[in-house]
Amino acid sequence: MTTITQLRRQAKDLKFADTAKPSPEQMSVFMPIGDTGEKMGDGLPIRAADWMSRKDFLNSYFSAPNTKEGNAASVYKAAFYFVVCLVLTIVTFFWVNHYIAAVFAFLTGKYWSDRVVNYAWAVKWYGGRPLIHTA
Amino acid sequence: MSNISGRQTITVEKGAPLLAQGKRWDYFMRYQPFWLQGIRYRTYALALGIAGIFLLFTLPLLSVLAFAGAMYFYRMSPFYTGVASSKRRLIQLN
Repeated sequence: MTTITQLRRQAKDLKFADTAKPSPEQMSVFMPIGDTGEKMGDGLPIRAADWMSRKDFLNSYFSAPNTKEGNAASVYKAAFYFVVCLVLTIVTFFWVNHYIAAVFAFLTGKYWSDRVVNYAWAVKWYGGRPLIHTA
Repeated sequence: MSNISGRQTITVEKGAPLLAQGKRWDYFMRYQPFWLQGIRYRTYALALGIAGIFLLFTLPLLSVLAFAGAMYFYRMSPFYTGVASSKRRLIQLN
């Protein structure tokens, strides 16, 4: 038979069961800043945290030095060159020369492939990776 | 305050989280409208300024409105670009 003292102790235990959990300010967060020694293909250390500002992050996404390098902006750049080359292909095929049209047709395919590759990299793969930011 | 096991426990109110984790593309799509809006406002300011100069010699009353609009958009654009080009820190794991 449980006594009233035991019941009080059980009630007290239940009362403090929730408060035993640490608050968000007290919880420790694993931040892999250190270098484990392993390197990725491009020579960067694996799982190293890269700190940047929001401005630098958006600038990196808007950067497009050419159609092969760069980030999301290079998708639009490649798409623009694709349309230009497609128009030039049609114009040169009908009104200039077939052989010149073949050069523009080659460039049209090149810029279309650049667009697809950049979309797969910047939007799908790179954009799907995690980013930690202030709440 | 101490419970029956003798351990010290402190009751703390649950605070808001300091950091959040999301996808890079979602974060980009959250803040790029601010950047575009700032560029839009700068374009409006330039267009209204040019329109105001032209209207000055034909319809002065409208040119006053155009200059007022140009100044409004010129002064408001940093409030949008400032959100996008903030110095808030982000962490990327490579």
